[in-house]
Amino acid sequence: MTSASVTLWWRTEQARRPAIVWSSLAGVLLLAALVIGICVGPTLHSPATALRALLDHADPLHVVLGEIRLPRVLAGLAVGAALATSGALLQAVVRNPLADPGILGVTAGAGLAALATIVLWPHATLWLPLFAFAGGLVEVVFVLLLAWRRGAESSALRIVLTGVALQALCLAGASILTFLFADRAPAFSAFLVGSLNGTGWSDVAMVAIPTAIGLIAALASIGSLDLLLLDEATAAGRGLDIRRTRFWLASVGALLAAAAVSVAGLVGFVGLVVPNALRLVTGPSHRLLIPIGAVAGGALVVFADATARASVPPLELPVGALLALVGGPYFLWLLWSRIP
Amino acid sequence: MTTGLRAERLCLRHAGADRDSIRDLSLEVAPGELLVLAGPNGSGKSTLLDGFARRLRPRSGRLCFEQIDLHRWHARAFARRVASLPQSPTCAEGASVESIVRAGRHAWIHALGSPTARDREAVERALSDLDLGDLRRRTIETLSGGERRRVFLAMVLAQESEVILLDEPTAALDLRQQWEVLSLLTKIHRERRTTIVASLHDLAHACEIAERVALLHRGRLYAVGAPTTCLRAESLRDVYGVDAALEKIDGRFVLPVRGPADAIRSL
Repeated sequence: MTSASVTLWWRTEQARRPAIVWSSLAGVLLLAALVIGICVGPTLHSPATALRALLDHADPLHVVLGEIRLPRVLAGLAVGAALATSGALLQAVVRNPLADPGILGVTAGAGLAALATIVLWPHATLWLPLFAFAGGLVEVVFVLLLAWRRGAESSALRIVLTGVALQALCLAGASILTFLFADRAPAFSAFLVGSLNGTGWSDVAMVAIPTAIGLIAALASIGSLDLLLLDEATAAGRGLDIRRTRFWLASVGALLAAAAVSVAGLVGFVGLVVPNALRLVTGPSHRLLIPIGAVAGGALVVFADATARASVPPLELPVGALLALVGGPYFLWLLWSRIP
Repeated sequence: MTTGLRAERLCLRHAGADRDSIRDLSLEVAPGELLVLAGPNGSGKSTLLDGFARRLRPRSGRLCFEQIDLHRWHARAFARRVASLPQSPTCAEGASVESIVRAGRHAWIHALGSPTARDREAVERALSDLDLGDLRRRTIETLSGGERRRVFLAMVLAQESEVILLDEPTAALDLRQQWEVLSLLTKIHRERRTTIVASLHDLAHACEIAERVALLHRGRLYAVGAPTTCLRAESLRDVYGVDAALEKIDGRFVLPVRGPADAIRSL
């Protein structure tokens, strides 16, 4: 068989593959992420030891595994799920596989707002995700407005470059804030590259709630997302209010990106790599892309974080750096193969 | 009292254009009729269809459906009644035929609901009406141009609307595919009493299927009426600038063009 016919066979088969296969694949991936995330680190533990330590409060390993690694793994799952879903939503909104909350600058906008909240209003940590959401939303609306031209669909390049420009502005604002408030601001380099170092149970709550809300909203929008695979006129003829739908989906995308930024900083490329890689297997329909993408995104971040912890002990690399090592070349490949 | 689509002294302009593409046009589409929009390139056929499909807001005048302004209809409620298809619909690579046809049910499925038996029935019926049963799991980029057109028509049929707006449904199809699309349209029109408004380039085709023809010229309605009265030699001379006349041979319309001609009168 030629590669084209293999691809065709795979694509036609995937439509027939029942949901139960996909859900069990997702379940296995989730379990693997949990086990590897908890067992792998500067010190390796067997799954049995880890389970015993998690359940037994008197176990000497309980503090390390239950109070440090478990919340970190859960936060990583939520961050990855949020970023992958946000990427899938933003790609549908701008009709372009190159979109990603990082590339469009949504995470930078959310990050700037979060940083401003931390330094100007230090006691409002509970409201951090909300301010981050507002920052991300304002940023993405600006990208869409500035890239929009009367009478024409915005080109991929225009949207991406507008995102890059706004991202630069947000990052400039963020670096000025950290410079002025050096005593209060968190470690700027860790924030810039994205890291899960030192995440605790309060962080898990902070990221999990907006992520859950965003995921539910994304799952409820699957029909609209699939209509955005059609051209605008055809989608409108099926009863889709394009402008309202785009604004709604961009808002959900910003919420999810903000959730991730609030605990992990500017983790990049998860939203780009996961939906694009998954589309090769599941096809472009969001029915599988959203739920499987969320699980795969979570697993990717947890795997990358485990690698980051285990690679140069006792140092912990920031997980964002490892993800960018994978994501950067992937972005170049997409740019090279998809943009004429 | 009319209950169909209606344009009243309508002026439409595309975003960024410096003049109106539709000027002072009034037209009523009667429920259950098959109306063909004819006219040369740039006469405003697509623009008028864009207006009826709510893609353009009137610059002046009114567009309504069932006496209600088109832009006051809720998008979903409108799509349950009126389905539209642009001239060259596209879909992202990798989408299956079945998923595209299923998109036609969007207006009927609640955001949080799942497809009902009626939705599945409509999709199955549209697939079999357009003979797409064998292609249902194929992806869009593996199909030929004619097959793709059938997929999008099936999507429109699955929508089960009482009005269908089609922009050049036979464009870029070969002779046999053109014939298939036209006979399908007449069949749907006859069997389901669906109102169809379609723009067509081929005037012989227009005469074959239309109950009424609306002939557009530079954004205005030149004439509207039964095909043979609307497309007389003098109209063709005025609107298309050709010396031509419709003839009927063996019960079929043909339109031999003898050469260019100057307009007798201009609008």
